[in-house]
Amino acid sequence: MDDRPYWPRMAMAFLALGGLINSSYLTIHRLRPTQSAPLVCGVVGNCEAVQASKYSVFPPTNGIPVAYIGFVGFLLLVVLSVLSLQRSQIGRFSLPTINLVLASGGLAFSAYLTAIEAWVLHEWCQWCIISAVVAVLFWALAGFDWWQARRSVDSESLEPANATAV
Amino acid sequence: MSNTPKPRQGRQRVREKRSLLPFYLMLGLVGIVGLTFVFIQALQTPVAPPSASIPIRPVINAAIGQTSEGYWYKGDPNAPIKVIEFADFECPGCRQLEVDLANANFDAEYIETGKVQWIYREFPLRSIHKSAQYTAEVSRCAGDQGVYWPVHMALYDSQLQWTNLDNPNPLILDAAVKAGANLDKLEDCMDAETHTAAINASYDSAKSLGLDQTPTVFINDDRINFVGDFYTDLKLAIDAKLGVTP
Repeated sequence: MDDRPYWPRMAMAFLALGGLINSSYLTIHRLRPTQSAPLVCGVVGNCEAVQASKYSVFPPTNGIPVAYIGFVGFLLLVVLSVLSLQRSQIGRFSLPTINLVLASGGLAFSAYLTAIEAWVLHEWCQWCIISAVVAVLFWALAGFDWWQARRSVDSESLEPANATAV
Repeated sequence: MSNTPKPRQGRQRVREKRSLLPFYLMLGLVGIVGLTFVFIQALQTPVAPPSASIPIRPVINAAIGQTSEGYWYKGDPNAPIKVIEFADFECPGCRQLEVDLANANFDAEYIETGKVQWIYREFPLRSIHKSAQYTAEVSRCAGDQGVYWPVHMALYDSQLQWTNLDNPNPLILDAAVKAGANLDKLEDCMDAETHTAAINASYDSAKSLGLDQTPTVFINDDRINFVGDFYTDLKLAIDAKLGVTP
C-alpha cells in the first residue's frame, strides 16, 4: 500500500460527483424536452440554443447526446475515484494511470465543446461551463495523484536496495 | 518476527477504512441531496407540452395596422397601455407566450376592450435560429396581403413542425398559406426581399436598445421580468398600470 495523500482522490470523487449531478440535469432535460419549454431565448448564456444545436450530439448531427456522454463519463469517474481510495490497481492496470487517461479524454472533449461554444455557436451554456471547469480541476488532481503514485512506486522500488545496505 | 507486521498492517487497514467512513458518508449525502434536487427541479412545473396547438381567434375585433415605423400592432393606438413585444418566430419562449395568452383569452380581455395596444417588433435571433429572419419576413409579406395577424399566429402555431429542419421553408410557407396568404404573392415578396431591410432594421434597433433575449416585453416603457407563466405576469403588470386592484 502506498502512502500517497488521500485528499486528491477524495476531491476527485467530489468533483466527479458534481459533474455527475450537473450532467444528470442536462440528461433529464434531454430525455423529456417537451415537458420543459424555456421561458426565454437569449443570445447570452443560452443553454437551449446550445442543447438544440447539432453539436449537442457527438459526433455532430447524428450521434449520442453529449449530456449522456457526460453522465456516463462522470459516473465512471466517481466510481474510479472511490475505488482508487481502496486499491491502486485494476488487474494489471494502475488506477492513477486509468484516472489520468480518462481525465485527459474528458478534458479534451470539454475543450472541444467549449471551442464549439466559443467559435461556432457563439453561445454559452452555464451547465457546459461548469462541466468544463470540473473536467479541468479533475484532470489537475488526477495528474497530481498520478505523480504522487509514481513517486511512491519509485521510492518503494528503492527500499529493498536500502534495506540490504542497512 | 515474521508474524508481527501482519496484525499491524491489519490494524492500519481498519484505521484507514474507519478514517474514510466520514468521507463516504459525505459523498453519499452530497450525491443523494444533489441528485434529488436536480430531479425535483427538472420534473417540477411541467409546462403545457409544446405539441398543443394555439387556440387562434379567427378575427380580432380591434384596430390593427402598422406603426409609423412599420411594426404591426393590434388594439387601439390610443389605448392607455402600450405593450411592445420583441420576439422571434422561432423562439420556443415566444411561442409559449402566445400559447399562454391565447389560452387565457388575452385579446378578448385587453385588446378588444380598448385597454391595450400590442406592438410586435421583430427581433430574429439569427445566430441561434436559422429560420428567424425568414419567418419574420414571411409575416411582413403576409401583412402586405392583409393577413398579418392570422399568419403571425400560424407561424407560432406551426413552429415545432419546421424549427431545426434542414429545409424548413416549404412548411413555413404552407403554414402561411393555410392561414390565408396567397402563395404566389408570398413567394414573389420573399424573392424580391421586400422586407429584408425592414427586419434587419428591427433587429438592429432591438440590439441598440441593449436587448439580448426574446420575448422581451415593455409595458408603457417598463420592462417586464417574467417569473411565472406569461399571462399572469402580463396581467399583473397591466392591471397595476390600469390601477386595477386584484
